This record gives sequence, C-alpha cells and structure tokens, in this order.
Amino acid sequence: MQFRNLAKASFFILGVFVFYSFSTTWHPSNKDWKKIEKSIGYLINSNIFETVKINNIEGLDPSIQFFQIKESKNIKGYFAIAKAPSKFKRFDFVAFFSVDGDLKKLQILKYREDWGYEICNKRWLEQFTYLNNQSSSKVQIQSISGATISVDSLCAYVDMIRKKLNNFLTQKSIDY
Amino acid sequence: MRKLTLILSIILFTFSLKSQNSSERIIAGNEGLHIGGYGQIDFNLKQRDGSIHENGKLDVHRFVTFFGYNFNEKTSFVAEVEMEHVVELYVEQAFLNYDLLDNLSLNAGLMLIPMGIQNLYHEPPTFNGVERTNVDKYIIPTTWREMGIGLSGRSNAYALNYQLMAVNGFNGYSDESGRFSGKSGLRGGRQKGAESYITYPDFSARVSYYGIQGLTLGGSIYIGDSETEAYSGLDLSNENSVASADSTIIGINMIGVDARYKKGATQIRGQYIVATLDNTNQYNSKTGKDLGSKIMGYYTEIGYNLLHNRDSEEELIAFVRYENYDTHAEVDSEMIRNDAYNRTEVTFGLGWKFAKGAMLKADYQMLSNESSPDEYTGQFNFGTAIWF
Repeated sequence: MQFRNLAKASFFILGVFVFYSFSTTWHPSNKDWKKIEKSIGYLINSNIFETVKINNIEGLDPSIQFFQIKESKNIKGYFAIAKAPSKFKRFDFVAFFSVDGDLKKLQILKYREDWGYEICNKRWLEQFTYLNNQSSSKVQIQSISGATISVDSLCAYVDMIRKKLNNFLTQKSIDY
Repeated sequence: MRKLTLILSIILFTFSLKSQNSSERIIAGNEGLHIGGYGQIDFNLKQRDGSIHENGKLDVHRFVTFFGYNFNEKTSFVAEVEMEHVVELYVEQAFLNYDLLDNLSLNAGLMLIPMGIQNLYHEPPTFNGVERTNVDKYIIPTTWREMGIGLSGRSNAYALNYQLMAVNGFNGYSDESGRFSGKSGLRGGRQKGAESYITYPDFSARVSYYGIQGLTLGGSIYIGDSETEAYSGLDLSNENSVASADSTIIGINMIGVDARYKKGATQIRGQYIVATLDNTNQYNSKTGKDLGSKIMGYYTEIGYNLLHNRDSEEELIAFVRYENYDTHAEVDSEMIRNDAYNRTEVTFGLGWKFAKGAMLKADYQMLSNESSPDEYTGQFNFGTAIWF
C-alpha cells in the first residue's frame, strides 16, 4: 500500500514538473538583451533596427524563441534565443541567422555551472557557422573532454533551431 | 485494478521516454529533477609470474546514480550515490548550490575537492583506459570529497572558471592509529562525509582557463592540516598532551597542474601533482607508519580516434599513457626511501564508444617499480563504461 501511494505521489510530482517545464517561456535579462542588440548591430552593420518576435512557428519548445531583425521594414536576418540543459542547470544562448537562414554567430549569454563551461569559448563556437546540412552538428563539431553533456545539448538545440527556421522560411507563412 | 493502473502508468511513462530520440530528450530536458548515472564493470587479469598463477577479477567496480534538483533558477541540490564492488555504499557528492550572481555560486555540503582532472571528471567514458590513473588514486587521492563551503565562479570575458572552498581535512589519526601510509599516501585518510570531524578548516582552490580552442588548462592548490581524534577532549593547558596530539597531525601543501587538448582526431592530456607533507617524522614515530614527506605523480597520454573521418558519432580511440608516481619522493631524515613506492606504468589500449555514453575498453598495462626497474608485471584489463 505504501509503495502504491509513493508511486502515485512520484508520478504526480513528475507530472507537475513536466507540465511546468513545458508551459513557461522565458525572457533574457536587460543586460543580456543589450548583448544581443550589440551583436545584431555588428552583424548587420547598423544600430538602427527593430526586433519582432515570431509567434507562428509550430511545434516549438517554449525554451526556444524566434525573432526577426528588421531595418526600415526590410528583413535583415533572424535570431533565436534558447535555454538549453547542461549537467544540472540550463544555459542561455542566442543563434543569429542571415536572411537566408545561414547561421552567422552563436553566443552564450549565461552559463550557470562548473561542468561544461568550455563551450563558452568563442573560437569553439565559431565552428557552428561552418556546418553543412548533410549531417548533425554533433558529428561535425569538435567534442570537448569534460563538457560532453553541454556540447551534445548545444548541438541538439542548434540542429532543432536550424530545422525550425528553415521550415519556416520554406513555408513563407509569416504572420506577424 | 490499482496494480494494473500503476503498471500501465509505468509502461506509458517508459514508452514516452523511449519514443524520443536523444536530441528530443535533450530538448525536452526537465526543469526540476535530473536523474542520471554512470558506472564501470571491469575484468582484470594479471600476467603469471613464472609458474605463479593469478586468478582474473570480475567486478562491478562502481555504479553511481546522480540526482539534481532545481528548486528555482538560482537554487539547486546535487547528489551522487555510489555503490562500489556491489556491497559498498557511499554518498559521493551532496551539496546545495545557490547562485549569488549570474557567474558566482555558493556551495555547501559534501563536495569534490577541485584537484586534477579525474577527481572532478571521473565518469568512465570521459577517460581512456579501464581503470582510473593511479596518479589520481594514490597522490590526489580520487574520489576525494569532503564537507565544506565554497564559491565557484566563471568569467567568460577571461575564459576562466574558478573554485574556492573551505573543507574538513583528512582523518590522519583515529582509534589510536595512523590513517596515512607510505604505500598509499593520504588515501586512507579521506573522511568522505561519514561523520566527519574537524579542528580547523583546510582550503582548496582551482582555476581553469579555456580561452584557446580545444585546450583546457587547470591549476589546483590544497593547503591545510590533517585532523586527529587526539584533539577530541584534549586539555589545551597540558603541554605534554598537546605535544603528543600534535605529533598525529600532518601539514599538507598540494599543488597540481593539468592540461587537456583535443584537435581533430588527436587528444592529449597530462597532469602533475605534488604534495609536501610536514611533521612526518613525529607522525611516523608516534604511529609506526612510513609516510613520506613528499609525494608526487604525473602522467601524459595521447589518444587518436581511428573513426574520426567517418560520418559517425562512433569513436574508436587508440591511446598510450606513461605514468609515474612516488609516495616516497622524499622522506624525513630518519627514514630510508622505499624504491617500491616509486612506480611507473605504461598503458596502451583501445576504447570503442559505440553510442553516446556507452563504451567498451581494453588495455594492457606494464607495471614496474624502482626496486626492480628492469622487470615489469603485465596486466590485461577489459571493461564496460556507461554514462547517462
């Protein structure tokens, strides 16, 4: 009887966690948003732009959000912010894309634990901008000893973001 | 009926996990509770010494389950529960973590001492060879964890990660006998959070630099005194009693440097650890032990992934490692160095990582010591390594 009650309680608690993890979105801090704007300015070579959230990408996990970069009503590119799991916590990163959907820059906004921090290395992150679409990021990216979980996590997220953005661009079903 | 409901729930839950591929599982994550584990199952066979036969050893060496729970974005708890050799149960880590700032955390509880590579990164698929390196086993000594409080922080601008902590020291003397030894150094003194005791805290720190792609450099330091039960109930006004109790304490100054480098198919790592131990003359006189006054060890290893150019996540890593460690690198003036404690090991082998977190390993070790430097004992090792 005790085991049954314990099992029920465990499933209930697990259910609450799963529901919570899928039902919340997140927002970068003002400081991180400034970092994003600085990178956009550098990438499009202009400080006059606006960012518009894209809401109609189907099947998107709430840990990922897409935005469009516009300059005088012209689309200059896209970016996605995401919260990906490391060993025990989550790290925040942003992926910038050209107007054609090519990954131009990957930037870690916040890394929160003592395992896997090597993925914050800027040169290592540059590898993602040279990826081809033939195979997964994990196969093409140089692995890092001691940072396996964070590397796998980032690769999975980047693959997912690229796939979602490419589908979005192919369908041309933008609805602001 | 209830039993049926429970079984169906378990099946549905299991199916829901299995129906996801690895990427989807990562994306799904879980905000609150994290459960994982790692382990190694080993077979060791020593080479016959002439006509002297040695049986092979088969051992579920260790199986560790880890639990992490995020109370909120700033607060988490991390625990690892370890079973060694099937029958020994330990808590390997159990600490609360609170993010004071985005890049600075406060930790308290049972924590890994940040010394060297394998004491921090010891999941079996992360290192080559079936067994952990003996430099880590006898000099550091891994898995070295103690109770304490500390800070850990990161600076992405300078590509630095650092840890500082105050912890209880080794148990150097209890039940009226010494816990350290000439052969195993400080290893016998680990308190492991099991009713640990402390007189004064010891201090440990580590800095890692990851600013060069593929390279991680680490520097570690540990300073403090061992603990002694002789101080429990000690009358501090009695000079003779204090002097007697002081003779059971060892001063420890340990430093270590390590490097890991990976480029293309090639991976290189190395580590050097040295500890000077004070008061060994008095300690050995009091306890009858043969503890050295300096212990040191280093290794260097190179590996090559033979499947690097294939479009696959599989890895087949061939490696060779040279390792030397000496728990009698120096001894006090009244002792003679034991050359048998100056040990050298050459290990070469293969590791086949055929799935994320699953690996088969095989290697051959040539084990020798300075008491008979021209001879070596061979040992074949085979093992499975998992991490999920």
